[in-house]
Amino acid sequence: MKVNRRDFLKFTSLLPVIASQWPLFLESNRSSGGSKTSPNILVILFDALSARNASIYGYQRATTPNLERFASRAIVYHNYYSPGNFTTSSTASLLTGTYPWTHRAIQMLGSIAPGVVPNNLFRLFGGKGYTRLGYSHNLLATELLHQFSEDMEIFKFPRELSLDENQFSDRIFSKDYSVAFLGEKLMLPLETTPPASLFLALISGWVQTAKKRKIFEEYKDRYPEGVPDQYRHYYLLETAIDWVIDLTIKLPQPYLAYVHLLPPHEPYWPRKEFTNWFQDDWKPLRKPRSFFSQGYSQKSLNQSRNEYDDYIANVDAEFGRLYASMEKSGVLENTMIIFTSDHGELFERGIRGHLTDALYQPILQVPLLISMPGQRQREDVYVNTSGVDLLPTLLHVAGIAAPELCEGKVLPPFSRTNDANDRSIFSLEAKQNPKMAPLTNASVSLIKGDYKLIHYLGYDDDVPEYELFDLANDPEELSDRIKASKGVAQELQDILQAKLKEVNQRYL
Amino acid sequence: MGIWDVIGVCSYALSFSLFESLLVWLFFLILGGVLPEKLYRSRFVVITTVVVFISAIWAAFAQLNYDVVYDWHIVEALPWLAAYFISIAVFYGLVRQFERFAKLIYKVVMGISVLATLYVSSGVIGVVIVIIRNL
Repeated sequence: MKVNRRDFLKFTSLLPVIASQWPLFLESNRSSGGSKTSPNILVILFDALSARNASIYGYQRATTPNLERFASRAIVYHNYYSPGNFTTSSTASLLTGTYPWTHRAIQMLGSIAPGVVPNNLFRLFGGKGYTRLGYSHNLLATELLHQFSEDMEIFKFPRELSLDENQFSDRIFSKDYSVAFLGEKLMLPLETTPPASLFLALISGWVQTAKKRKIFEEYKDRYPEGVPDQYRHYYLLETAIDWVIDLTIKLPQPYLAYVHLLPPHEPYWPRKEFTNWFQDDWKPLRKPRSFFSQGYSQKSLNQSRNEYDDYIANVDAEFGRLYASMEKSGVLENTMIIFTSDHGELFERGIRGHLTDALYQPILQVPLLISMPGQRQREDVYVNTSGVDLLPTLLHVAGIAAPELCEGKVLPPFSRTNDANDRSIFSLEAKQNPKMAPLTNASVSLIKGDYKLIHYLGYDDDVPEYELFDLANDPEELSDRIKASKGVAQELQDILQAKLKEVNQRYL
Repeated sequence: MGIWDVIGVCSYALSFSLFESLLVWLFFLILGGVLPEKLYRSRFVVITTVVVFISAIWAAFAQLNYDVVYDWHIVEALPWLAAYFISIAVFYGLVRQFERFAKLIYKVVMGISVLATLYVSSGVIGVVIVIIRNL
């Protein structure tokens, strides 16, 4: 092409205009990453929400009407299992696509093994123009997110949404937060063990109690039972949802936001209008006492279940508010929304909550709903899937290759290769096992097809070595089929033993 | 958790303890400056030792029952505070009254001062490690 003098002059006359717009161009290019087709991704996780207590999955009480509304434009996963039975292990799996025996965040407030940290969701989305944000109410998940904080544009500590600031490690020692927090937890009253400090802990304990009373008094009209807290951080769910609504509108696009909210985690203290929401005569199925029974009576478990269900209804209503806002603002048209949880809760067999070695269905089966940008139809997926599948699925959607270390698979319908139900899905509980050692004190479950095998290692003699359940015919896990279905039991035992041998090999 | 992190947790705990000890020491230093010499400064080491030791026992007792103690209102705490101050007064009286008792305590304090040196040194090392970890 020939450029004459006139063309050249025309071009130079445009230079001041280009120069004046250049900063704007740079800014828009930074925030959009130059990829206009990349969808926003919002992972919203409600802690300790069991699929077994959600009406969308067939629970007797109408706990999740808003989730059902959301499901009308989402993919609903009916057999989605958490890889762990508490926040640390399951969230680490979700964010790294690896099972707990690989990432090794297997203990309370544990951290991910250094070799697995680069496998985190945020780093893998790096360089793709995404604004990456991580926030958790739950300090156990914050511990993990902090390990990835360098891979995020925005990392926030729990105090951002807390009514009170009782911690100092996140403010003074934010760079070394994980270790400083353990030191703080050792010295000051943050949980249910006596602190090591003699004088300051006592003063701190009294000050914290005074603050707690003040907060409870201030919000008693809205939260008659108390404001839900964890490690003395007090959270209002509605404030958190308002914050998320704001995020979905204001974050530079495209964004990848992981938001981990504490409700309906214990304490089960819903807002006033949801207290005693389910005043019915319905009684859950009575199950035999487990060898892991914590001694709770059926009456007490039913009472806790009622409170938990009330709290789920509260969570659902707040999610409904978020959903309505996203519908109204048009966020759903360009955002992939993932609704999920990290683990469930048990109110049966003498066990309450999730701090247990048990791996029964209510603790492992959690909701997963994925709404794609502009989706209008509901789709139901019944194959067995796992928390480790979320990371490869998100990478697949964003056109990023999954790393070799990843143990999950791309979820259907995003990949049709994972449609078969004969895949092995594992879950692990190993809080008592040393972190970097072979698994010798643990509970491991394997779900394959319609069957579930649970293997107990290193427990007392009253705990059996194996339990086998036929989930298709006995979804409540009432009948142990370890002796009745010897063929299936042997097949699953072989798979499980081979897997354990493989994962233990690294530590022998 | 690697060995460096384990050392880190211990360092935070040691630094915190040192900070707490310094606050206690500072409190008694100020008290020594405020109270008349005859009442306190003349037997500073012995009286301070007795008060800190008894306070520590009471504090440890309170920490063991922390779930109850933290929830106390001032009215509930009053009888225990009274008992605490009475125990301090009793031992203060013993120190003032019985020279031999005071000398015995002084001897014990001198005997364990080596441990105090170790404690302060480890606290300082803890502080250094905390600083390094946060650089």
